[in-house]
Amino acid sequence: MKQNFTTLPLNKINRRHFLRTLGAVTASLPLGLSTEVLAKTSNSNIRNHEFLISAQGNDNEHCGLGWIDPSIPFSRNLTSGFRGHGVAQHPHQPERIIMMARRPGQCGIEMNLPNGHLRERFSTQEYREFQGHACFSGDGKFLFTSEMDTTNGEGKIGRRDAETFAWLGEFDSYGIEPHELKLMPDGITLVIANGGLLIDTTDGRTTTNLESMDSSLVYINSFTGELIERHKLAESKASIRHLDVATDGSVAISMQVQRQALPHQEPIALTAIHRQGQEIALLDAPETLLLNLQDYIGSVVVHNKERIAAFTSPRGNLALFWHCDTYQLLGYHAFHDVCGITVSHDQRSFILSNSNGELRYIDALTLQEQKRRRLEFNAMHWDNHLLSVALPTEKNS
Amino acid sequence: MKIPVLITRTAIASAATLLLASCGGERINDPVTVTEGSLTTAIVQALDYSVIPAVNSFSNASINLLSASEAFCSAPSAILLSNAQAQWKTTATAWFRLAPYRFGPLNDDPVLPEYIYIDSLRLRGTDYTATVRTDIETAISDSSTLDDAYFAAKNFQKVGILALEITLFETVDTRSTTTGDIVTEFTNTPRKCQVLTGLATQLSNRATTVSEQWNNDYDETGKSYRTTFIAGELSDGTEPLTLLITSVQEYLDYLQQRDVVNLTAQKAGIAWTLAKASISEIEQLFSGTDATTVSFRSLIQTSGYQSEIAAVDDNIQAAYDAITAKDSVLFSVAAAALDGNFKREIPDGLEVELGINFTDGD
Repeated sequence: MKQNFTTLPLNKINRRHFLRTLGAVTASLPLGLSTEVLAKTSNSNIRNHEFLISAQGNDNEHCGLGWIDPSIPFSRNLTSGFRGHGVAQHPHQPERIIMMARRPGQCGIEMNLPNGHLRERFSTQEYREFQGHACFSGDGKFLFTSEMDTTNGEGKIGRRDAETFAWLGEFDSYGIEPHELKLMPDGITLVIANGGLLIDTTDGRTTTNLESMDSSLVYINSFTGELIERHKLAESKASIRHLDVATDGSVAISMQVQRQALPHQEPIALTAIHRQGQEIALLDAPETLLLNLQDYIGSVVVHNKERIAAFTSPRGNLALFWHCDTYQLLGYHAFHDVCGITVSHDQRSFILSNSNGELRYIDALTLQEQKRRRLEFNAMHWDNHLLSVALPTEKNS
Repeated sequence: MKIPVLITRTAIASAATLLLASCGGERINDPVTVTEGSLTTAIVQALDYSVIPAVNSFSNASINLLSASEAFCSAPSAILLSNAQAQWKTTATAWFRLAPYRFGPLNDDPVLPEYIYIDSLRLRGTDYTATVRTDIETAISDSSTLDDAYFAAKNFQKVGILALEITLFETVDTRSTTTGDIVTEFTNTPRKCQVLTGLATQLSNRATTVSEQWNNDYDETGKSYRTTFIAGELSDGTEPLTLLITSVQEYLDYLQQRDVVNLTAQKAGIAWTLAKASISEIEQLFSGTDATTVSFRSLIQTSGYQSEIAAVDDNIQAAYDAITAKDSVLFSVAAAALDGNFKREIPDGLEVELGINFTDGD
């Protein structure tokens, strides 16, 4: 049932309600949650409390990092002054949340949960632009940011001190326009989606290299910057932009197609699975379904336990689910302007968000919507990416 | 229904109206402003005076096309062919009035939506004329049983208004468009009549199903889609007004991107008539009919968005001018401008948020 929720500061939440709705600790935790956090969660006095976090806002005045507690529910927003894009959680200090500016960006911010305080604001080096995403190193000491050299369009991976955000150096992304990047399960390798697009610096959006666009999926050593593998799609006008990594190292990737550079209207696969040492495996779907996606997938998440790669198409108003191993299309769910997608902390659901501030829960086993769990936050306009974060909370706090 | 965010310039007027309404003090001559109640009224009237009549008109036209086809095939003649061709034009025109409303029963299934079986061009602007010609030729020359199952199993590219146009307006052998040649072919080739009535039956069945769902029973819920729509109980959670505006906006985008006037109804020669039907329908949706008391136009106008109203009017007129001049370039420009109105001015005027829309990717 739809409800209109007002923003409620955390310190005004009914304490009894808060405790009652704390989520149970599950054995299977999201990839990247540290051993320290695991140790904490094994303490009987600690419960993990779930928050959903996303860049949000539809105008400069209200753009920020929004977060909600779906169990209460309440919503809050840390105004950023820029349209955000990707969000990331520190692997050992789960209260630390990063949001990067949408490309081409100059800023990133770090927020502290649950108080919502701005901890740090950091900027690019001269002649660099952020490209919307970042991830932490396995030990949590470094932050890797996707960046572009504005002098020549080369892709760079910035390396920063994760405490001070001081710039420490950079690696080549071995491609143009790195976008989303994540750490592989070995804790060493970074997998990077090089979108392959160059944009007009005057408007920040228009693509200028449609003829020569060069997208790739790249694996590099995060310690040395050494290139490990580089893969391309057969379709040169498909730009690999987003990815997620399963615990076994399978990488689910999503694309957007620059249709204006193609001489035809044939449907093109927008989703794929890759494993190191192998070719990229495109995920098939009926032609009409592919055309419905309108050449764009906005976000991807992998459900490790169920081995499902889930993708969202805001233009097609669809979330789609494929099996990571059989590559079989398992289902789809219609949801207006859907883009954010994450796996709930208890692993039981996919959670979808849209630009109207609505949330949908999809049962991870049946892929049916849990309609009673629908939520709507009028003040929120969720952007591309949604992240479920678990915050250890003392039972008696 | 989600209450739209009210903006400053209408907030006081809206609040006053709400107050009056809550006190039972709303008078019939009070200016109509954007409130949840007035928006609901506008949506209901848009459905009852524009959308549902378009649904029913298309359904009736397709039934009449089937009747005209059967009459022609019972005794092929120039007059009866002319009647059937005229009924095809009526049906196509009715479709182009309905086409801006591509949601609900027309577009429920992302894999096999109903609309593609009516208008194959709409999916991605691909002209399937060659495919249709080959398929009709095969149907006539082979020994397949041309029953309902045969036509029901056909891919979307091979059925609908295009397939019926090719069947009715040209011969298979030489593609002659002369009435005498077409009548002679139908007379000498009974299987072509089976193709005509088979295709007409399929179209009629689909149009009837769409109408039945809009008016009576939607998706076996026991409630009509009209009821579901007005109640804001759409399965994907979309707000009704958002869906309606977005649908029209997408149609205008389709008109200008797919060069529709140069691809559709080429044999029948009524592409510009069809374009005019669509623009006329969109204008009616916006401004209402004689029976309308609360239209989207009146709500926007009362809210003080005069320049936005003027922009929409100018662009509608530009579209009509392009149609009169049969200028496809100017028509695309006008459709694109109207598309913009449905993305910005009209949602702004109705104080409805369509969402971020992710139009430029990332």
